Amino acid sequence: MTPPEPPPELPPEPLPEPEPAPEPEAVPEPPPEPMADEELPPPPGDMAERTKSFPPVKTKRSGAMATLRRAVTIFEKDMRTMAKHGLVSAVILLIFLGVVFTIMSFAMSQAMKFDIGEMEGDGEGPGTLPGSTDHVPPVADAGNDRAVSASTSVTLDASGSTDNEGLFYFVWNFDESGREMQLYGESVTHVFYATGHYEVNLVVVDTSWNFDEDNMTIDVNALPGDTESPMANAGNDTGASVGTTFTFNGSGSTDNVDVVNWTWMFRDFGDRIDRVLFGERPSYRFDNTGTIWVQLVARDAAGNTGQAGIRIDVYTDSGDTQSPEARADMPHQINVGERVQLDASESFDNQGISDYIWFVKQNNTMRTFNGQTAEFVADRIGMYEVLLVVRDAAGNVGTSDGGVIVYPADVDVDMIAWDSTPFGTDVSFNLLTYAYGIALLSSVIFIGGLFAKGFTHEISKGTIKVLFFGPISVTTMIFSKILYPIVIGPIFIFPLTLFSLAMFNQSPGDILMITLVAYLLCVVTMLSAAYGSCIIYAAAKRMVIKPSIVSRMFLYFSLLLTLTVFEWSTFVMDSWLETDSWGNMYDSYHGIATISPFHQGGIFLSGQILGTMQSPDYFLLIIPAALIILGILASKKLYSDIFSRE
Amino acid sequence: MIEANGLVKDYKAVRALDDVGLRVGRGEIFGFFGPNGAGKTTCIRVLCGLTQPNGGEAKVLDIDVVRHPVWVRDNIAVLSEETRFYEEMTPRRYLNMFAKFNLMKRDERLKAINKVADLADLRSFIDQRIAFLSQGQRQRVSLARVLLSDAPLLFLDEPFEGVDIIHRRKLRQHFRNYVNQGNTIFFTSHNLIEAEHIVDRFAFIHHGKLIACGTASELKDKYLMPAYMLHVSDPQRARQVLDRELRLQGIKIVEGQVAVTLQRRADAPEVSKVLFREGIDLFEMKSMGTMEEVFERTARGEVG
Repeated sequence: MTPPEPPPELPPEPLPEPEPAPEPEAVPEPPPEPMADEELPPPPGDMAERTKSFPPVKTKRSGAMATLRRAVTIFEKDMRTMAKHGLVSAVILLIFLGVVFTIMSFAMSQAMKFDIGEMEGDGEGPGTLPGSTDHVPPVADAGNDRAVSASTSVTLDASGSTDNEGLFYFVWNFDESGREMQLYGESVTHVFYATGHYEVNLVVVDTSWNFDEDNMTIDVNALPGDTESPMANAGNDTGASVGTTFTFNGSGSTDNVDVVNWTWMFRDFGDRIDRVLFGERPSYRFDNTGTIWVQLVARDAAGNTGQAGIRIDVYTDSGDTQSPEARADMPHQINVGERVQLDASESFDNQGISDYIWFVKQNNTMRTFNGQTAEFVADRIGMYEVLLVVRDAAGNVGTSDGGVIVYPADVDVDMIAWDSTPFGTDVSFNLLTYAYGIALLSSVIFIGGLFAKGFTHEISKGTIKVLFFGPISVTTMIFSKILYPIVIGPIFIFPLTLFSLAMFNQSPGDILMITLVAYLLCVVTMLSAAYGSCIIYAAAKRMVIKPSIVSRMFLYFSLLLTLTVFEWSTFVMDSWLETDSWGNMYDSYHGIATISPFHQGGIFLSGQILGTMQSPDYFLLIIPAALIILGILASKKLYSDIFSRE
Repeated sequence: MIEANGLVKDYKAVRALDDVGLRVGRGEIFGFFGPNGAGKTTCIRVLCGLTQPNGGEAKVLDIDVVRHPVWVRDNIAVLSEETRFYEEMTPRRYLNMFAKFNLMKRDERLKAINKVADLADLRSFIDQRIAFLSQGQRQRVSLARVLLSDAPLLFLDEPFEGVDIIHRRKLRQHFRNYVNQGNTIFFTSHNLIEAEHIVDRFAFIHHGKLIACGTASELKDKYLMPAYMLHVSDPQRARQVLDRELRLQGIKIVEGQVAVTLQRRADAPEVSKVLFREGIDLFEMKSMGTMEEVFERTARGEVG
């Protein structure tokens, strides 16, 4: 058989006119060109006829709103996955990190807490003045042990202390009737009203911040003869309305001979200023609300003493019970002879502040100023303690304290880190950084982990391809990922910041500001993570790459980097906002900032930005590094557990 | 609906598409066939805007695919053998997600999901997790995703895989109704026998080149000899009559039927006329060539 002649080629049928696109101006298309290739096959013979009877094809072009709606749909899908698995992981991570941070907090605060009264060691403290070459510690001399009678004035003299350069700072620490006393100055006087054995500790600091300490004892004794102590009776606990004059009554005190002296000791102005009254029935006008713990020392003629205490609740009759917030602004370190400007203008109260009282203490001298602003001349080197008391019309008080370190004239104070003190770094301000750190670390690892695992999962399993079969673009993907930090960030950030701030009685404005700043930082951080992920998305869409160890490491690295930048930024923000002026709120938490994982990095960064000379302790960088690695490992394990089920 | 000229796509040293040109009109089911690795999937990926060609141009729905791939995908639906699933989802949620991608409103979504669930036979497992579904069930979910779309152009890769006989018929009917409304289906399958029932025009691709394109009869005419099997009342006499009256390439009796090879396919109507004139009953006249044979011959470079 021979093959038959093939039928002649049919001429190509003209294609139907294509319908114009709905938005021709957006995408100008050239008119369809005639088919150049005559070999191209035409539709079947009747196709052109049929085409004429069809209604026009309606093509659509989705705009930005459609992209957003699709992004929301993808986001919704991811949220469901997160709600199912991710939140559990997040809680686990949060607990994990919380425990780690707390342990570190405790350990570090113990290791780095330099309280004056507890200072030990060879005298070369960590607070050696930056740039100083003097490392020779002074020699403290508190004088000999003493024995005195009750209610006699005792002079504590440290003039026997020596140093090669000169002494800068003296502080006497002892415990009296259950109160920790600190007296500043080379020579101070104090009256011991109660008999007993007092152990007095003296710390001296030289101009290069080397220090030494010495101890002495003071025995306050009664006279020989009558050895029986009186039975002090201060009356019963009671209350007093603010502004009223209260009369104490020690008449219930008894003695085998007779009580000849009644000494009433308490602290007013928010439990900050010592007050001492004498007599069986002294009177005192309480102008400040609060709980007053009064100690009565009853003494007989032989000097025997007995003690009793009462509690007086000073209350206000007005409805306003909210204490004002005291904010004291002052220079932290100056040269001798300069004027110190005190400013309380940032203090606030719900009803307005009626009184501003400044107590400035240097050595044994206390000065008082009134007014929102005040100033004095720092005419002596050493520490000026400043206490600000603000009071509203109802008698509620708020306090804030600070210190001004006065250096010799030849010290360049600008070269000293703003948070340096003779006793180490002032680390009390940074609780917020701590809170941010936990919130951010957990949320970034949570979301980053989901990104990392979720992305690679989508790519390796091919599910991502399905999305691209539809009208999903890389832009849509990016939109969907941008929604993460914007929506999820607050879930982690807001509660922690609100809690940590509200706990310390911050003003609503501050709460709002810091929460927003934290939120913005959070968004920036996570956007960065989203960006890294989108690069992988784009690559996956083109099917150019498959997830590799390199792409995963890229993602983890970007997370680490952004987290570090975040934490350092927070540190600088804290510095910038001078949140250290809130230090009094964090007294019981001092030392906590040192465990903030990037504190040392922050020191480094602030050194670079603010021009300080303080060097970070690079050894401590191991801690954040270890935490990050642990966090990544934890998240990786968790997410692999989650997705291995698919 | 589709116009492609001189499409070239290279993967490193391999040329997956080599000067491919296509024209697909409205209202037709266009079959695109080739062996594994012939360039079929690459061609579809280019036409769907999922990858960019190295040369040539392609317009889908009069939209330049290279410049506006997302716009093209906004107006088409793709069923691919590459489909993977979000295993945690149920088919219902999965379809709902894609209905949202299509910007359908809630009422429309519900209606459409119910309709495609019937078409693709998902009812019995629509609320089970996809992780627990068999491969055939998954394929049907994927098909339902495509059917959900109201796009004027569908790319269907093996749409009948995993679908039982009853639902195949329903689906074929659905596809026919769909193209009768002026829509188009770009269809690929390994099963050419089944494709003959549904495809209007065929295109064959081999080693990245388009080697043949046309309707089934055009291609058979061109590539196959016009051989027919005749079921007649008197095979012996039929053989004599046809041998005498017509110019044949050959004729013989096989298992009680007459196998005849004509000179030209256009002579086929003469067969019945001659038999009728001679008083021989013709019960059935069946073409002996299939599209599979056409493909085999084109792939070997033979011309009928």
